[in-house]
Amino acid sequence: MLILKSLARLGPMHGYGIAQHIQQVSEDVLQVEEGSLYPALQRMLIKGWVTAEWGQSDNHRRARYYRLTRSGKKQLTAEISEFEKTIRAIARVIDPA
Amino acid sequence: MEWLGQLWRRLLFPFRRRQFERDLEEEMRFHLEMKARDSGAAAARREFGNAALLREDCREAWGWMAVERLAQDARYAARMLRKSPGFTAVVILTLALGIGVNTAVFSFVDRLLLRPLPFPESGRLASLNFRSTRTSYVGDGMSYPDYLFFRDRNGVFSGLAAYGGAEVSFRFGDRVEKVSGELVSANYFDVLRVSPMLGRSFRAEEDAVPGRDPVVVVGHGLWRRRLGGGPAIVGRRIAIGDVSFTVIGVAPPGFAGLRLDRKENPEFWVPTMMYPVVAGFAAGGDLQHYWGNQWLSATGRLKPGVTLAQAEANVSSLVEQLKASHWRIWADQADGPLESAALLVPANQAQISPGSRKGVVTFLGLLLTVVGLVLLIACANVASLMMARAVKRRKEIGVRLALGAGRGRMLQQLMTESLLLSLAGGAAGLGVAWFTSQALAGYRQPFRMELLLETGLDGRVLAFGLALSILTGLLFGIVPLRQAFRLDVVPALKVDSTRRGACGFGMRNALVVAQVALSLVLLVGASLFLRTLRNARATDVTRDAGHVLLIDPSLAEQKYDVSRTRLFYTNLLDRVHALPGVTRAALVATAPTGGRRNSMDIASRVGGWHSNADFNFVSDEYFQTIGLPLVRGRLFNRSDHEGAPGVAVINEVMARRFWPGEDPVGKQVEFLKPPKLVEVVGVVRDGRFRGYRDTLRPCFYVPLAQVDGAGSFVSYIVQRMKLEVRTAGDPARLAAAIAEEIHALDKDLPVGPIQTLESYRDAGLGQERLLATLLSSLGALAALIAAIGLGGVLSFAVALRTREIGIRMALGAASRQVLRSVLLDALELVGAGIAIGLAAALLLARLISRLLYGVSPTDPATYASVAGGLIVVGALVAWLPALRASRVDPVVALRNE
Repeated sequence: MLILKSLARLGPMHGYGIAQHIQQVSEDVLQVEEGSLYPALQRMLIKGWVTAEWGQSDNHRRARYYRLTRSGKKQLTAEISEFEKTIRAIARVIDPA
Repeated sequence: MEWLGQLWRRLLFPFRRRQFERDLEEEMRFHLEMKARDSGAAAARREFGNAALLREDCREAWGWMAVERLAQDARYAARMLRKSPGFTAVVILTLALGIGVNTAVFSFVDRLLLRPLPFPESGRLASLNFRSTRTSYVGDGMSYPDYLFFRDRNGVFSGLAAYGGAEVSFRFGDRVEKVSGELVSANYFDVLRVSPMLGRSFRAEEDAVPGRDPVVVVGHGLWRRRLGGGPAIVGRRIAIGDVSFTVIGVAPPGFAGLRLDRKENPEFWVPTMMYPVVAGFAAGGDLQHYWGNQWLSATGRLKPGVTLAQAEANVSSLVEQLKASHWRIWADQADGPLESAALLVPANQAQISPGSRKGVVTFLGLLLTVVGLVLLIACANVASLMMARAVKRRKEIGVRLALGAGRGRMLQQLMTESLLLSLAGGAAGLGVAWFTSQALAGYRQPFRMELLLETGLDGRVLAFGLALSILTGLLFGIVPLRQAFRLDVVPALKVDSTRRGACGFGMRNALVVAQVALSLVLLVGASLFLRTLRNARATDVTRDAGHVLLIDPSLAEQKYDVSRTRLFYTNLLDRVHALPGVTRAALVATAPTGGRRNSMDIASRVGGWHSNADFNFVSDEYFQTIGLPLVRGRLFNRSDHEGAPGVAVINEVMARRFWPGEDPVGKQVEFLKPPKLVEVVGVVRDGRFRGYRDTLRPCFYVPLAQVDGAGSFVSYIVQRMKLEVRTAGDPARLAAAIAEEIHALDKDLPVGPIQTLESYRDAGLGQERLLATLLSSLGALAALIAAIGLGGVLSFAVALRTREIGIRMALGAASRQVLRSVLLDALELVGAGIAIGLAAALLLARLISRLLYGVSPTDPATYASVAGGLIVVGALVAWLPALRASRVDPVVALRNE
């Protein structure tokens, strides 16, 4: 979900960019390890949520850019609503005021 | 639809493999560079962690890893096996033998017992049988009126078809060939739901009047072989015997009727009402209305929803009606139709007549057990070899475990190796299977009855072989695995790893014990069957049977009436006598071990008794030809011709039975049907003419010249006399000359195969010979394998104990003592195996007692000699390692550390 959201917010981005983005936005709370990031991206490629293509990075290096597809966006919406439901539920349990 | 895209992308993966690796590589590099720019090179590498693992995880996401690992394992296994060709060859050979013989036996089990008839819904076909209510006899014969009765009055079959066998002479151009076929009811093909490939099947009106409609459906094979194989065959006329038939159809390829218990596949079908032309046994009788000739079998298709039990109840009520009416004609026959009950058997299981099926099941079961034992021995041997290898490979496995290979992964690797071996063994086993099934089919009558044994490895048999290979691989692969699992990494890596090899040693000993036990079981079986075979052969009275030829001129054609038959026989004997190399020649109605006998009611007015005895028609030189010795009186001679006073020669049993304590020569016997008075002129030794298990019955011989050919039964026998020729030289060289003489008398006679009495007798002993040969060769093989296993274990044990032996000898043990201790170890293993084997053999032998002859299943001499033989073999095998142990030089052994 975090990867999808990052892609939704930033547009096409390479793996390093996604990791950096998540780390910055979460103020270093969430660190995405490469060992999880790239296999996760592969799984999304298989499922068709993202596509990948080679492009130029900011510093003029060839980099692989991942782009959110339509089914990826649908998946994101679904996952966010699911997540919010869970969060609300947890919040009610923790703070039953 | 989403899963479709997913599947597509996954499937494409192997083809984009290289691209994928390059992309991933570059992506990682980019990532590292970026990270290095932001937080320093060292930190980047540290944080990045195991790059190889990451790449594997990425690859794994695509789901192709299992396949890739398998391929990798197979490659590795193949490499390992190539590196030790000796081991690989021994294992593959052992497995090929084990899997091969099993596959071959299975092909017969499948063909004879498992495979359903190749007709639509063959499970709904039921065959009509009659079981005796007094004995275990089951038969399926019925007369034509019986068939009509069942066909028209039953309420359970949508159709009931009848069929009966026939053998006729087909004339193709100027040559004549014997062809087997069937007389069938008009609805036969419809009930089986088989449509002719060309033309049509029979119409009801073609099966209505005896002899009126000469129409024939020919088999696919006959059509291709003899009738040109063209579509123009329909409507053509062909000659069967002396009658011209119109071909109305060709049966589809592979169609061979409902039965397997035939000498040959039926190759033509004619309406039952053509019996006056086709059925030799009809002999002018009115089979259409005669209730007393049971020449047909019937199979019906059950109506939808009717169960076998319901159908049987319905048929039973019909049988009761018949018993109360038409079957009264059987009143004076013991154990005849009046004492029978209906028995419906699914046609798939009635391919072999239910009465004989039990014997086939027993025999094939025994065969399966035997080859199963061989496979077990092979497995034990391979497992033992694998364990020895695993010990050698401890270090390799230890290294791989230390480098982080998962145990599951190692297990997969080792299993792949086992499976590769067993599959290679299975592939080689197909060759063995082909060879074995050919050899098995060579024993023409292994089931004591006519049986079609087609050999061939079809899909079902191949699938069985494959399944067996995999099962075998799992079986022998699992045993050595226990070691890999128990392995500790650290000691395995130490230099002195062989010393700890003793782990799994108990297992190898157990395997050797099992091998010895199994080979003892096989060898005991072998020697019991060898004795049976020898005893069976000893019952044959023919002296030097390898030099007597048996020829069947079969004059069963209509043109041979009694006088022409006589003339033919006289001419034939004259011509054959004139051939160089022929010492004696004679004709006989029933040849020894021929499986048949004829009996007749006889009486004596003087003695006041009335009894029944076997009879045989022989020409005057018969006894001299086969060498049956005369006990008293005289044999037949030329003066016993047609007009002379009637004479007979009797056997010893008859002499003892009817004239106890008297000289039978000169006494008179009266034949009842037809009435005739003959004088006993001689007594000959008893001979078993029906088969070696036959009880000796009173039997008399009548000279052929004096046989009164008036009765149809007698003329039936006389037309089928066999010619026996004793030769001085090689009998095979005379066979062609004799056939030529027969053809010179009548070029149309289809002379059957010419063989010696010895091979004729042995053909009848197919089952005994098969079991004796199979068990002794497999038993010897098993003993050899066990010996190799024992030798391996002992050498290994001696190698491991070198240091211990060295110490002992340094402390003063004599080399003789060392020798003895190794020999005793060996005998301990062999002894344990023998003890277990004896117990098992005693148990199993009871199951085969029915198949033995003249030897007890618990014959002490047999058991003792086999056990003794194995002990000798064990001692011989142990000698070499024992000698090596006794020659250990203590100094060298202790320095070895």
